[in-house]
Amino acid sequence: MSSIRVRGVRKSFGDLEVLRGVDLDIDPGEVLCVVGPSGSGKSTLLRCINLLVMPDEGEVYLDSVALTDPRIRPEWVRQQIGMVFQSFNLFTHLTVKRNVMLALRHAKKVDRATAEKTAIYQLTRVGLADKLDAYPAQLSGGQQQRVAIARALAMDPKAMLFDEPTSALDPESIHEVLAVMGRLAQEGMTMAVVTHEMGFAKEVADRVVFFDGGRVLEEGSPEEIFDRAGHERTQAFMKKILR
Amino acid sequence: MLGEGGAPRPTESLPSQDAPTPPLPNGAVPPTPSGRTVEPRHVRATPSWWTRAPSAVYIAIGVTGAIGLFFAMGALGYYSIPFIIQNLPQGFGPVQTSLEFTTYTFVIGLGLAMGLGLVRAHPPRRDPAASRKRRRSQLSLLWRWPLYGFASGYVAAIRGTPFLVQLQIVYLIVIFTSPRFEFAGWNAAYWAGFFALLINTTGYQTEAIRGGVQSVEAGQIEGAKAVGLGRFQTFVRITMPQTLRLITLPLTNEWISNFKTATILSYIGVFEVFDWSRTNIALTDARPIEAFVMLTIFYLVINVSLSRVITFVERVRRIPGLGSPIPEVGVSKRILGAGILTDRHGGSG
Amino acid sequence: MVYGAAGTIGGILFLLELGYLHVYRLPFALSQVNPLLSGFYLTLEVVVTILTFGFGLGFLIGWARTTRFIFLRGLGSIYVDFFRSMPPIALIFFASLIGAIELKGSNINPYEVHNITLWLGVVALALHTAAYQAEIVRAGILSVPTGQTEAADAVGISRFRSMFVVVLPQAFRLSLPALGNEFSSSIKDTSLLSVIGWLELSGIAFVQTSLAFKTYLYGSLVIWIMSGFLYFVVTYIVTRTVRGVEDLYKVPGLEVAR
Repeated sequence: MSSIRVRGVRKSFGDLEVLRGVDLDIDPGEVLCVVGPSGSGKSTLLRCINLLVMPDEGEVYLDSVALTDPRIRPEWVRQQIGMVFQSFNLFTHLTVKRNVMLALRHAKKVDRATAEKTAIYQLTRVGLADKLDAYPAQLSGGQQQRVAIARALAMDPKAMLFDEPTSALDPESIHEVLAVMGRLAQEGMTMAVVTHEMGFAKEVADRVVFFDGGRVLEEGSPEEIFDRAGHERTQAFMKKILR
Repeated sequence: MLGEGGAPRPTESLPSQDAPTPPLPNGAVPPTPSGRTVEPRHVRATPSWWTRAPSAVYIAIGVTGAIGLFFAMGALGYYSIPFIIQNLPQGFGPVQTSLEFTTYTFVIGLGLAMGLGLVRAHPPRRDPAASRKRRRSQLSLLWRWPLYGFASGYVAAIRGTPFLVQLQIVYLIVIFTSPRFEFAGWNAAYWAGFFALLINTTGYQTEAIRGGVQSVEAGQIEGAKAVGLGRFQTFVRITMPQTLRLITLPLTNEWISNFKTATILSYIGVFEVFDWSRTNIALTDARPIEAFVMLTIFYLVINVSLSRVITFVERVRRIPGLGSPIPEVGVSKRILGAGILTDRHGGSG
Repeated sequence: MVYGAAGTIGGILFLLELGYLHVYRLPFALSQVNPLLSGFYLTLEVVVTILTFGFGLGFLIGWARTTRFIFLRGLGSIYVDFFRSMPPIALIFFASLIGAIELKGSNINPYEVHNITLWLGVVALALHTAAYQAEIVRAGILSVPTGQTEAADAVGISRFRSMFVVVLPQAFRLSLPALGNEFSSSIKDTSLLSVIGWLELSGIAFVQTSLAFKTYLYGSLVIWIMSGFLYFVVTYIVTRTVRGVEDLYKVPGLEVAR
């Protein structure tokens, strides 16, 4: 597993400055939860880590490699860091098994037999061994998200990013997805999770970061942030979220 | 809100709201302002047999009805059926010409439209997700803008003008430059018509393909990037397969449309099926009604069966969740097609 | 922006053509404007007629195809299948010709007959466009989520009435883009009326072309390009107007995917 370090990242979209100098550290095997109001730039921050969005300024490091170095291939970066989206983004025209196999075969150039075995393995790992030949539209939200997780895991990433993975799910499905994520954390995966699920953050996260207005406002252990927040805005936010 | 005695508050339509509500006896219906009670209809109207029949039934009824009508009118003397049966084979040659024109232009147009459609699908824009340094040096915009402008202008010109006008322009240009041109058995007029039709169908197909490409959800592109697929890979593995499935309907529409447009070529001398029915049958043989009936037979048979076959194939090969739902229900205006697929040039503006 | 590009390209081509063909013959080009415009007005007249009747009929048929009555649905289907399979030029031509033949034996004076046959072509076009509009209306109605009719039912509005106050307003908004497209197609189809003798824009263009062969050979190209330009202007105006109506009646949340 690897560490992720973010140093001084800034990003603007036109006139709107979304990230105003972000510094972040995630140690190997650590689970970091990012919480904050919508529009604070959390999703953009995650996307800067795997270079779906290029920072205007600042650097992102995976272990000792500067990902923002223009010589680095973004495709390589995304094979090292997996991402799971709020809207799953599964490939609708492929079966579940093919969804997981696709990147293996065409980005990593793995042969068909190995790719298939890996796909079956990962899908079993998330509990969907019986849905190999189904199409994404035939699955429930929770199942689709687990396929997305399997797809990301199939690349054998050194770290995983989760962008509000359960926000689009019904309550039953939320639990099954969080269970998978919890297991992943136990197995030692470096994870950065943007979420509103405070229960998950309290149980699984090693550290929590409160993100607002494009920068880190507070960070600490879950107890520190949820129960004994220092900053005023953090307290206000927590009051609204924790009922 | 409860009034006195636990009875429900009166609606605001009652005149005096200050007076306390008298408690209503259980089960009674509160009187309407005019004082009459209205009984709700609690007996649901049972659907009769004529509303419950499946669509196959009415298709069968329709077809038998049409055939019956055909023979009935023939018997009544509006037209002579023996004449039709005797002369119909005469039309096979011209029909073949029509089909040749339609299909060759369609196929070539498809190739061209693939390229143009892709150009149209990606308007040159600064990529907001790219870094600031990279954005400044996006030189590719320099040649992408004229290309996009050309494609857009071309499509707008084709879709904004009638085929008749386009045909006349191409025809006149050909006639002025090389009136005696001959190649592969076709004279100058035929080739002029061919090119005009080709230019026309390419324009409409471009729009259909552009619609298909742009319909592939942006989220899937993002998902593909996130697993490390490069831009070319994403295009080949994600965008294209879905586009091809999405454009089957609009392109079939366009083929049928092309087939119908080819009839206009009859007025520059191409001997296709409309010309045959017009000159040979209607005018020479002086049997316009029979001519029309024969033309109808050809067009209905070809177009309707093509549509039904495509609709059926689409339904069978459907991938759940991909593309528009069963074509009976219209969805996006881009893919607006229902039942029989002869929508006009199913592209958008 | 698309039209900006189109306008630029079109403008440049037009200027090139202008320069090449017209500079020495500008008077010729200008002399064509009046006749073409008179044809243009006739086109507009015909278009208004066709679109009004076409939409009226198309709406009825499209609605009929969504009802419970299999008889109406069947008739509607046959109508739509027929008029969408047949090429409009054939419909115009044969409507006119067969009408002429039927009326030849009657007592109506020849000028009237000629007039009637001309308008038969227009009728054919109206019937043709009605078929397409029926499909668009039908698709629009079917696109309104069924929850809407359920909700109307739940508050006690009759099925029939809910059609007018719940379904149709939404269906109208959903079908506007496709209707705009169909209106443009209809306008372009009016050019086919020239083959039965109408002197609308294309008809005048044909006449002027044959006249021009005596004075300026390449004049025919000029004439047709100018006609094309006029058609382009009309379709552009119609599409923009429909988009304006769309914006006017736009309701957030009820949008067709663009």
